[in-house]
Amino acid sequence: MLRTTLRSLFARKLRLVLSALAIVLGVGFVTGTLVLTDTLNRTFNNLFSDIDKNTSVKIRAKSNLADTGADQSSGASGGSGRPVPASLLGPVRAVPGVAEAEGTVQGFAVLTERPAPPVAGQPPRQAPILSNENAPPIGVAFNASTLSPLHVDSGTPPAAAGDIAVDRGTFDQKKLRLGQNLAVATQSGLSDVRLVGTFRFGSSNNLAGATLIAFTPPDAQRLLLQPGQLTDITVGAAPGVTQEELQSRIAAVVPPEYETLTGKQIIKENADSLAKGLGSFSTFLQAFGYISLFVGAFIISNTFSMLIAQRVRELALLRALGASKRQVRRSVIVEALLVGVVGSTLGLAFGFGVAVLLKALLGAFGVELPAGGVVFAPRTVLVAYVIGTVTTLLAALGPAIRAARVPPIAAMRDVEMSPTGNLRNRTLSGATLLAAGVALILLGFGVQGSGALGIVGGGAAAVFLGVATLSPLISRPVIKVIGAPFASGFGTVGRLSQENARRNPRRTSSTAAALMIGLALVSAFSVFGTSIKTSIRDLFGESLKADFIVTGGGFNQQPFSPELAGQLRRLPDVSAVSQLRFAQVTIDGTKANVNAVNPEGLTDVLNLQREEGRFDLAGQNMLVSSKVLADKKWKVGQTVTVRWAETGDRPFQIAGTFQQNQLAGEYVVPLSAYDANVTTKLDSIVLVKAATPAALPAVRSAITQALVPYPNLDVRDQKEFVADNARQIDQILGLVTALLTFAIVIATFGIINTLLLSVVERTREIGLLRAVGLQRRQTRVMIRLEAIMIAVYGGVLGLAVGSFFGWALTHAFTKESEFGSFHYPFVQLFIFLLVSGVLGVLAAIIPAWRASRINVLQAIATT
Amino acid sequence: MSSSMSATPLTKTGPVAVRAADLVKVYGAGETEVVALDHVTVDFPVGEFTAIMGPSGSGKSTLMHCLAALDSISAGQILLGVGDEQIDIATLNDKRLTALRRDRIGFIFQQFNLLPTLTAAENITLPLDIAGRKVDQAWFDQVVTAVDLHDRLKHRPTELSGGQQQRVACARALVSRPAVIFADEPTGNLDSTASAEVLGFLQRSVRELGQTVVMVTHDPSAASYADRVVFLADGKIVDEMTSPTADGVLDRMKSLDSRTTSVDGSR
Repeated sequence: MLRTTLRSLFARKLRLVLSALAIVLGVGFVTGTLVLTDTLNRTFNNLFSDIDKNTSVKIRAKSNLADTGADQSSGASGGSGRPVPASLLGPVRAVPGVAEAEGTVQGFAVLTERPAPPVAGQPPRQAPILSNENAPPIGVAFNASTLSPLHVDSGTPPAAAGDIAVDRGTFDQKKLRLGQNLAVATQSGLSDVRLVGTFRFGSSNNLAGATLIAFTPPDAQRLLLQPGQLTDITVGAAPGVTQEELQSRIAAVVPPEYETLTGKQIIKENADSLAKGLGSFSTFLQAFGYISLFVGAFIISNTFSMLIAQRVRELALLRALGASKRQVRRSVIVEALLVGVVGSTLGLAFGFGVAVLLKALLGAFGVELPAGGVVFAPRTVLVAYVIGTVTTLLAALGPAIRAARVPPIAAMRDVEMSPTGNLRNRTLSGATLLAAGVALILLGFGVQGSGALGIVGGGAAAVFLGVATLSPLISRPVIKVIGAPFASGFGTVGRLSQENARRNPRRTSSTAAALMIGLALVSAFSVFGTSIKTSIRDLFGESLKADFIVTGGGFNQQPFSPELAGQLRRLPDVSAVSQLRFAQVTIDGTKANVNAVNPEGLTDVLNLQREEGRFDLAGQNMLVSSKVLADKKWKVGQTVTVRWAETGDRPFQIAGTFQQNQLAGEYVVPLSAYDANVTTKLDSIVLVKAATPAALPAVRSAITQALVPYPNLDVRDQKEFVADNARQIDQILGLVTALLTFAIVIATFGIINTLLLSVVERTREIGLLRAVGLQRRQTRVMIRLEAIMIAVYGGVLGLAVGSFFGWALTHAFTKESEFGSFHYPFVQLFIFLLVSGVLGVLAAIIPAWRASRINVLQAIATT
Repeated sequence: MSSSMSATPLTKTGPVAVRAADLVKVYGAGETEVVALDHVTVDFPVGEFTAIMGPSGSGKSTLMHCLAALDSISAGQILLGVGDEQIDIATLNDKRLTALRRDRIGFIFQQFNLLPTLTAAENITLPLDIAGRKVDQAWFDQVVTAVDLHDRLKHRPTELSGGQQQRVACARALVSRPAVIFADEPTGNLDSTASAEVLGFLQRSVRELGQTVVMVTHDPSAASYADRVVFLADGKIVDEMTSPTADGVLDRMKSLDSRTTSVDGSR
């Protein structure tokens, strides 16, 4: 029996390859992301261990908030972010067992070209930015201690005021020269500097692509913090002193607002926060891998069904010769197992390629990874084989059961294995699945936390299965409608295609189902994205009264000196300027973000609608959104406790409430309250209102001029600001769509597979058509039109399901944030339908060619 | 007209619908070479019902496939049509051959004659529809009446009996007014009543409508409906019988069988 299975398997190499392909792509995607995450994890962990390998103890300001961890995006280490006084260095150095202790200074610093001298008659321009804008721009103090991860590579270390060194990666990439005059934008504004050397970071050229600038320690303190301040203190132990011993000795001399950590703890903290970050990145990517596998399962199931339909006589003969049902079933299962194993093996190899590709993709976005081989964990291999073979086996289960039902008598008759499934059962099970899926999705969106993703994902899978189950019931009428223009436009050929697409509803449906999944997800995100984008336009537009918004973009969105706001206030024709600062705090025990603003002119720049109380931002007053007030069951006039990272608990009284406002957020406090609790007093956004509409151009050019010393900042009017925010949504949508393309490609392979098998099945029929005069070209058109109809049918189903998903997603998001409304992107979705038609044309190329090459005589003469 | 030593030339003097001249068909090459048709020359006159008979492997199906432009030939000529419209089909490319089959030749096969997705009426007009030609409704009605299918036109092939299916195939072959209809064992899968209906129809289409029909069969009683029977053995035409009877054909076949046996020494 096994030999028969193998024989029939190898006799159909093409079909084997095509059905294995679905598995190869799916497994490849999943393993690729695993390999990539493992690789990233190891290289970064190596890097971090390398950086802190000589650190025995680190001293930093303690945070009053639990679970702040290391914030990778700003490059700052954990703790409250409050600086450590340099005066602490002396007592620490005096502790016995301390071999060396150095202050670390780290902050935001953007490397730019020297600004060009102003040209008469031309508006002044900002200097071009040299730092990698896809990574946080970091400035540090250079010290030659063994504790520093910086190693001079060429030139000299920065020694005189105004000297800087940059990382080797940026130096090479931007083709800088030693001795070159450059500039650096920091929170203190723009400073002229001279490039004197380059360095390596640990053993790599730079820190994952981020541009690093090293200053002399006094320059670093002046530009990045304040003179006499340090970010933290790193201590190296004398020989024979353990990290823990040294930690307890230092802890005894350090004031209680500072904490001491051992080198091991620091490395672990970094690794943990990295694993957390990479974990969600990996989950995100893997989700697309599993979608691909799910799509692949439909294709495999369909392929096996068709192969069995074509082998009915062979199977019946086996049964007539005495093979039991079990043996027949097992032969199909063994076949699936082999396909699964072969597919998984190839998928594993393909996954390696995917990982390399994704790594290159990250590189293209400026995230340069430290050198190091690709990590192939045993777990990856295991996952590949498990998901590959299990998916194939599950997909082949139905066909295997049907194969076993072939009666021996079928060997004597020319019967076509027609599915004998009960219509009522199909309707019932399909509707049940669909209803369960919809319920799960709606439930999942209501659930908070990590379980939600699983519930929604399971619900989506159930909806897909439900629609796929019900689809054979509606495919005939729907394709009648879809095919109508073709049937009238292409005459008999069109009509033949339409009939072919309608004749086997199950087959058409499961082929279309694969495409449905891909298109449903793409259109769901399109509906969601469009709704969110429209909401952003409406809400950002509605929340602002200011004419101009001054802020940085991307990783340059770093706080800047309040001097700028002062400068802007002095400009003529400016009626109001408001500074916005953000802080993470806990309020009554839950995490929250507070916005600090200038009380004066607040309602001139923000469209803040009063709901209750007074807009009085004096002293320890606070305004909250009416939604928060209702959710927390607070009352106006009540006092709540805000816990700040640096200073701890402070009481704030709720003075009033405002209606939902995108920029104001949930909690608004006066700027003075922020300043009292945060050491680094920098602005994140400055809002400017012009005195009259006529003054707008003049005010804008004046702001532009004021921004010349701030190359990392931009001025935007309301429209531009809203458009930029909407563009970010487009970028995310673009990425998601690109990743979903994978599933759509697999679905297209499914159409190719089905059509090829159909052409083989219909050899005699096509031969007859050719005999009675169908031209080769007409034959190709016939197959092509059939493919288009199947693909468009899949597209129609996909759009229907996707519209629901998109609505549910938007609805859940709206409920969550009281933000947004439902908008339906008709044009975009129509384009998706056209795209699915094009996919049909592409999928038909090979099958159509095969069909047109059928030997007429052989096709009809074989009786 | 040249003729080989081995084949009996069967040229006719009246108008000829199809003519095979010195036709050779060889399969394979070298040691596996098989000569299926060995210098066959035969005419099929307009308005005649010809049956081609012969033992298995005699080349009768190959002859028909070559005549019907379904198979290529190794040497010789196949001339289709009368007078100025006469075409040597060996000179045509696939596109023109396909058009020729569509417009000038009708087919009836032993089985799998109809498209399962089309109704009987659609199957009948299929060649015209493919060509994009208008259906001559009067002629269509006449043909459908002749095959007695008026009440079955909306049915799909699976809803028709074997005999009805074959009558649909006959109507399809006739409806495009081809120069010649080729029928390959048209009654091979039918019982005697259905066979008689189909053969009677073919006979009437020749006698009453002036159609030319060439039929391959191994059934002497089917052959008895024809005006003439051509006997093939070992790729050569060995005999001809006009106004055949079933018994006469049977006797002739028996002698052919024994002849083949004596030549092969293997039967």
